[in-house]
Amino acid sequence: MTTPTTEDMSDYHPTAKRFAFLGSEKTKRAFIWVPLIGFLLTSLLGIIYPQKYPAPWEKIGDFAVPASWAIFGLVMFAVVALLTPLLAKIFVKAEGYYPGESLPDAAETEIEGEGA
Amino acid sequence: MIDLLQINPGLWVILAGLIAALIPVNAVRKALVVLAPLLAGALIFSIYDSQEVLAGQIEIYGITLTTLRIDNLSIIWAYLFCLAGFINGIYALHERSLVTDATALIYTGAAIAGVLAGDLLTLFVFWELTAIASVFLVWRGGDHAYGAGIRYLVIQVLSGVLLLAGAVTYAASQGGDFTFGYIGLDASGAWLLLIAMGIKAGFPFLHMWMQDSYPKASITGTVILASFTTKFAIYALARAFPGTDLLIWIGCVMVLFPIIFAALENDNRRNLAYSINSQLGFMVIGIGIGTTIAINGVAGHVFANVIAKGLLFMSVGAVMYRTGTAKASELGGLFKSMPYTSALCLVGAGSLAAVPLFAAFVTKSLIFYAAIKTGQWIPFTIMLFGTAAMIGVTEIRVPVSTFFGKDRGHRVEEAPWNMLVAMSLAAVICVFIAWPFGGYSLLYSLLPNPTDYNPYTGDHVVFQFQLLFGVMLAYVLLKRFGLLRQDRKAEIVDADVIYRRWGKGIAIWADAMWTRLGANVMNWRASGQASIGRRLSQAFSPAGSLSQAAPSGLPAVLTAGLLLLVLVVAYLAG
Repeated sequence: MTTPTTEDMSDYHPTAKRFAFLGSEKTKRAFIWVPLIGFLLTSLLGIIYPQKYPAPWEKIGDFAVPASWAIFGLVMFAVVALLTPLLAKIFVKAEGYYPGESLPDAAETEIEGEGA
Repeated sequence: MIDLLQINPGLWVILAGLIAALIPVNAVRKALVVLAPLLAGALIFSIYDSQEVLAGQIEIYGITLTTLRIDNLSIIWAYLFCLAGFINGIYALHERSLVTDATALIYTGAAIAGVLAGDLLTLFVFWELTAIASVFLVWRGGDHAYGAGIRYLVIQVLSGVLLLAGAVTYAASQGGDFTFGYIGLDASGAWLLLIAMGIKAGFPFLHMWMQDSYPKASITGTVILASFTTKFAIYALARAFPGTDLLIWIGCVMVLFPIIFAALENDNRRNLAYSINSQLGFMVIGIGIGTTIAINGVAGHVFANVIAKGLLFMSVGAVMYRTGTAKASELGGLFKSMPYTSALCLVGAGSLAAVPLFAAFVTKSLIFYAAIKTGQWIPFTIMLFGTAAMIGVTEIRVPVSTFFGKDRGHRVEEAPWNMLVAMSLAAVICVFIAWPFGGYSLLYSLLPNPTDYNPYTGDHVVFQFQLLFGVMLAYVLLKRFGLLRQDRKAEIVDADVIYRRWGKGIAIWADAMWTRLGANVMNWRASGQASIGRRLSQAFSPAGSLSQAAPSGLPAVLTAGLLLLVLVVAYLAG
């Protein structure tokens, strides 16, 4: 476990101090290994436990692709995420588009300054 | 002597709500809020014994109403609503509001009574009562919620009116029988009933009330609202329209369209409202497929969704309670202040994402399995796409942006104890109902049809993890390369722009035109009246033309001319 050395943890919740490493840049950078290893491991496990009822698009001939859902998840979310900025041009308006009905902002008294 | 077990248990909760409205002592009221749903659950348990119960028959003007029916379909909804009412009651313990307590109880009771209604008229009464009681929870959100509350009420009441019209039309075609059972689209009044149910179930273009009102309600109000109305409608659809093919395609649209709105949405509560809409799509697809396994999936997924989505709404509500906002662009790094809430939010997110060992894994898969078994590959693929997309845009994004994203400097207290208890309870249920050793089988025993489906097969576990890791990998990579859209303050325009902006604009324009036209009409009338008055005055006043002496020769000439005309006519006629 690593803890950020540059950050004062005195205002952390006592329980959170033990998990302070989750907020460090190092952890955030290294986190990519979790889904990557999970992706590869479950794709390999797909060979041992093949789909019992593969959809037609999961098959190449009679062969069911063992990593089909992993690839599907990766590609489909990427498509959604990459389309989002384009669709934002259509659907996103400035706050206050409906006058008097904006949702509440953070209570100023609770904020003690911008990010650590 | 009235047999108390003949009375719809939901009515006791409604009665508790009415009593709560008269109790100024907070502690007593809170006891009612927490205990009344439990009492209702105990009553249902004592009444129902695996056989259909029909009770509380009342005859009004020759119409027999069955105010209580407990059977294999309604029982799981009834238990679920009692459980949700209990958890919501604990969650709201910190809020000293007579209005919230009373209306929450009436709303919960109406939902319980509604799913236990045996006829369409009783259903209508509780359908409307859920609308009327719940609007106060929206209005409790503050001044900015007033307009949303009005729109919510209008749309919900409209749904009730359509339901009543459909019920009367249907009953007329059935010889006056209002029994609420399978209806199907071919029956008289069926379309009215379908639209009425579709409004509450969030059908495309009828859904906007949800995303409009839920984020504006009070913190506890949103949690309560998210539990009942839409799931009540899903029950009604499952009762009246199972196996209706059209619902499969409506459900597919419902799964898909909220994805993009959720991806764009900055407010976490509205994001979750879109997520509800997408999850409702899964249920509507299940109803459309209509097989026993599909209906099991619908009932099970309703259960998982109410608890898991409630948990997410509760955690976002706890954050809002402490920070004052639910906007992702203003939140981040909150796990440092609210570690328990963070962990509980992750449980809720994992449950909705159908991660093995979490709630939706054992329920959503029933609907998938039903689609596979009936060869519905397009709906199957759409559901898989919906699951993948919602994992990314809601179930990863909400907890990450709120608790683990860029630290916005909020240093707040952990959620109040009662919120933590309620969230913990929901989290335990999320895990318990998916527990492979006895947990899910208990949930399955409550489902409408017996099933020997086992969700914990090797391929199901592996491929579900594949989907999760695939989305996670895409999320992390896109974030790493700066391709993930940043959360920013914005208003997302949904179809309600038609009446909230364009319709309002047209109304304002018409009003201005009417005002301007009215002013011109007034001018025209005034000038017309003045002109007529002037002319009459010129003619008839003492100084007018008719009062002046006419030339004496003129009448003689006119008389001669008239005589000549008569002579000519007489000659020609004769």
